[in-house]
Amino acid sequence: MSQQVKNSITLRGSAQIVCEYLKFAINSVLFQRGLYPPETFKAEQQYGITLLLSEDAQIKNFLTNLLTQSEEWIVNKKVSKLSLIIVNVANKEVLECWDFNVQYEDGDAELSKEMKETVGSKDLKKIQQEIRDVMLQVAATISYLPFLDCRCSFDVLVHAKTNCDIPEKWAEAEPVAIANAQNVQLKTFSTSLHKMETVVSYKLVD
Amino acid sequence: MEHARPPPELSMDGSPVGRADAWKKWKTQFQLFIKAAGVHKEDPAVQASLLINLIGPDGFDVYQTFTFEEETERDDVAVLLKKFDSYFGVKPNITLARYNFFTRNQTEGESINQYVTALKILSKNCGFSSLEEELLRDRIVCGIRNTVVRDRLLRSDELTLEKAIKICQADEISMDCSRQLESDVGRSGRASIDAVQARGRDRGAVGRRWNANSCESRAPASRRGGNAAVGRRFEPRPSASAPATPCPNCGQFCELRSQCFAAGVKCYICRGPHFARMCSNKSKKVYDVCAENYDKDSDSDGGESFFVSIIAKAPQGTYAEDWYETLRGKRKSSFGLVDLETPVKRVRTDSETHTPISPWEIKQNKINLIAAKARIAKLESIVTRQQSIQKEMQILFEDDKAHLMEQHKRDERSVSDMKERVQFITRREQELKEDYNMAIKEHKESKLKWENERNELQKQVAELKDKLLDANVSSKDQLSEMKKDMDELLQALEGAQQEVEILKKEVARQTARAEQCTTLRTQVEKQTLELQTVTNKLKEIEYERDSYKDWQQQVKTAQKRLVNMAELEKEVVRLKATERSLRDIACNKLVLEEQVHLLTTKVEALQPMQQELHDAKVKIATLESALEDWKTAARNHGIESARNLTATLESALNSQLTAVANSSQAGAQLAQLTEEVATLKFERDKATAKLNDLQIVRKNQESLIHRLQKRLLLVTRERDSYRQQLDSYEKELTVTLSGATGAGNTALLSARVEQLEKALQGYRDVLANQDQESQAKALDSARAEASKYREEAEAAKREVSKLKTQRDQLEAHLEKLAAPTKVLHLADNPAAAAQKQMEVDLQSAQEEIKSLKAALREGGSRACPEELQQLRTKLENSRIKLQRMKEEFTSSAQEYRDVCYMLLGYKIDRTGHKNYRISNMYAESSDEYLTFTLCDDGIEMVHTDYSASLGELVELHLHHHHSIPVFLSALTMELFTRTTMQQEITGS
Repeated sequence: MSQQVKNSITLRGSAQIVCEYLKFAINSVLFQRGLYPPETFKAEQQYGITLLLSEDAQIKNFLTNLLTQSEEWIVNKKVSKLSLIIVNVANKEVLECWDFNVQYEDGDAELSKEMKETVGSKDLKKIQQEIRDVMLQVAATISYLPFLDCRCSFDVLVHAKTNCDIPEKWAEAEPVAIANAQNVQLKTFSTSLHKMETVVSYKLVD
Repeated sequence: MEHARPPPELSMDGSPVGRADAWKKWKTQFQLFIKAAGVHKEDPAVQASLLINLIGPDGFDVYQTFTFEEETERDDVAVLLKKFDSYFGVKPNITLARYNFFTRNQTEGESINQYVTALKILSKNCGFSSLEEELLRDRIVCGIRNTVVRDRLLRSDELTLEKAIKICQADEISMDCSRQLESDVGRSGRASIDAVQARGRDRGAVGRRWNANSCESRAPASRRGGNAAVGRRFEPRPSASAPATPCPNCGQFCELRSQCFAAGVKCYICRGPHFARMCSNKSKKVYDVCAENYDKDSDSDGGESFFVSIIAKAPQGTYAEDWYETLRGKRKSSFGLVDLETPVKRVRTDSETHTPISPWEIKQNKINLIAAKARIAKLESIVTRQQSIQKEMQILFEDDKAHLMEQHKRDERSVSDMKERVQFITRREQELKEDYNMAIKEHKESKLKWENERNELQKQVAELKDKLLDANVSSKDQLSEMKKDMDELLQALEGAQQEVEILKKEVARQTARAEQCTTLRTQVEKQTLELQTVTNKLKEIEYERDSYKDWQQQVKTAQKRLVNMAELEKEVVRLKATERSLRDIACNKLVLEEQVHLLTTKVEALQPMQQELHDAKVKIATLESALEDWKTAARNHGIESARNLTATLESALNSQLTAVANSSQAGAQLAQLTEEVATLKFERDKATAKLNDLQIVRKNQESLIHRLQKRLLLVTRERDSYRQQLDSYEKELTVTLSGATGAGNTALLSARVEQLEKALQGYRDVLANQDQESQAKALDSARAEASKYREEAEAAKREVSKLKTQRDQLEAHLEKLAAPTKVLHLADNPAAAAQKQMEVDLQSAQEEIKSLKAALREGGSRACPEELQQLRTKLENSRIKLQRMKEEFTSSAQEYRDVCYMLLGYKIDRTGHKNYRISNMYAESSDEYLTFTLCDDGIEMVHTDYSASLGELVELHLHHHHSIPVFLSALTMELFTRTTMQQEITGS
């Protein structure tokens, strides 16, 4: 019975946690990198810190579309990486790339056997603490990332498996590469079912 | 269901309210009867006829007055009931009903249930609604006869109707029970018997025979008779004028036969219509029938009373002289609540028992009297209470009355208002009638007017018709004229047509001429062409002529050259001499040729070398090109290019495929290897374990061997020593045998001991040496083996780790190869949107630039010609204006100057900046002028030739008076006088 009482995270729940993190991380990057004016963002308490979410209807719509589909893919283990790319609108040059690497873990084997589905037994508080650490790091990246002095926009590329169907409104994209890139690995967090690795790569300007 | 009792006939007596109540009652009774008799299922017509039949004569009269819309309604019971309802439809007077309700007290002998039902019936019409229960309860409390119960009711708090009724019922029952007990007690007690006895005594004088007279006289205030035990009941009534003889039936003095008490009674002896005591049949003689005890004292408080119904004679023999009475006791409560039947009493009456009244009896009577008085007091208090209640009721009644009066007044007021309104309405009606009359009059007048107008209009119509006829006639005339005109016009048309035909012919002629003209023109064109060809030929001929002229010039130059021939011959001689010299030179040349030959041989020797060199160079070039290719290939490997890329791609793909195959193989190998490693490890472990075991065994064995060897050595040495001993013994033996004993023996023994000790020492040494050596050897070998195995294990581990890393790499590679990711993104992402926006912006900007450029190119001339034109016109206008202003100014300035000159006599000219020249009108010459300059503090005169000649004036006016105007006027005056003087002089 002690197993029942134990905290358990289902695959779906884990995917939701991951997607929530992605939402906040993407919004945070958009705010920190100044892609959109700061007055369009609204403060919200999450993970014990104040994070900013865009109020722009277009961005909101885009993110909800993206994250609902991504959640589905993450549940089905179709996605290996999500890349948030920041593009110079004028010449389509990729200036920054935020890679969110998703790795799939086995969770708690005993509990999974008992529950007859893959579940993890990590404490939610601990997960949120880990996510908070990552978010703080994301906020701190502004100190070393180069200043974006041109009109920029962003896009999110999902690195999915080849056997994955392309849903409506989605399209295949070219993989991006940043010339003279510098990679910075941020902290990772894990829900015991998914491990999220955040890497930011940016164009090094001499 | 015929047993159901039909309702009695409807009585129409009393007030309308009473009648309505009666009707209501009758209606419910009728409906119940119908239901009970099962008629309600039958045809309504039957029910209707039953209703008419049962309602009685009065109701039938009412029925006759009804009018029906349809004849069928006459047979409808529902309609009839409605009709009767409306006929009797007087609303019950609530106030009266309430009054009835509030004044209804419990009557004597009425049980609580009866009283409550009566109250409930009364309350139905009072309209108490929600208050009904409470008022009922209050009414019970107030109206109940038993004061004890009332006290109890008043005492209990939160009294409800149900509770009140229960309390009353309980009280009733308890009273009954107590009475029963009392009666039971009284059966053996004396009190009741005494009473009977007392009465018996009273009546003793009359004897056993029942005396109706005395009965009458003693029952002046008769009351309702008690329940007869034998079912015979009668109620003696007071009669004003009783007949002299008693009734043979009842034995009383009844006035009429119908009022006889014994009416409808059967004697139980002979079945005749009289009481049994009046029966003439004496075989079963009833000696005494009934006697009621009416004690005057106990009468008012409703004390006990008895009457005897039958006294039968006992069978003869048993009680010869005893009479037995069957008594039915009746006890009345003070409020007559309950009728209680006491069991039949058997009282023994004896004619011999009458004795005079004893003092005890008197006492008893007195006690009774006191009790009665107390009761009277109680009753009086009840009466006062009742009165107070009545007063309250009266107050209520008066309130109601006042209320009703007020309502009445209000009604009257409203009636008066209504009357006024009616009057107002009637007035208005009259006004309206007047208006109506007026309107009718107007209508008539207007009608007349309109008729007149109509007549006039009809007349006009007739006139117009006449006019129309006239107009028709005139139009006919005009028509004929028009026809004539038409004919004329037609003729003219025909003439015009003829002319047209003529003109057509002419046109045809003209066209023919035009054709001729065209042919002529073609001919002319041909001729012009010919002319052109001729001119061309002419030009060619001219060109030929020119070439011919050139030829002539060339011929002339050739002739000139022929003249120079002689000089050429001379030159030939000179050339021959030179030839000779050249031959000499040729001889020298042979020598040189030999040298050349030598050199050529050398050259030939050198040529292969050169060839080799050349080949080497070529090789170097090819190598360089190859190198360059490689370099380019290397360069192109990173960057995309056409052919090399494809080649490299293909090769890469091939290599990938091979790599995949390799990787799979490698994976398999790896797996195998890992398995092998595992097995090897296992085996190794096993082997090491075995080895250890074996080593231990070997060590043991070796030690054993050593021991055995040592033992063997020991044994051999022992054997040797034994042999030596044996030898020595033999020797000794021989010695002893030989005869030499004694000293020789001891020497031998000591020698032997030494030998033995030596041998022992040797053994020990051998033992020690052998042990050490063997142990060291074993240890060394074991160590060496162990180290060897360790090395092997390490090597295996290293190999394992290497293989692992390799496996990981290969796996990663495999993953990459096996599951290459597909990059997906949302089609309408912000980047795309921004891109689009950018493109749109760019396009619009470019378009704007284009348009602006175009505008710029077209320039100001066409940019806004209207504006330009306007500006030009404005400019022109302003110029003109300026000119006009100038003209105006110059003219006005001239005018001003002229006026100044004429008025002041000075002509002022501005000669420069702030310099003014003044010349007087009367000046003799133009040289006579003065100049002034404008200073900060006024105007100053500048020295001139002329001013020098005016020293006096200057001195006087300027220096002395400091006034220029005065100076100028003085000058004017002087000049004027001078001119006049001159004139005068000339004149004179």
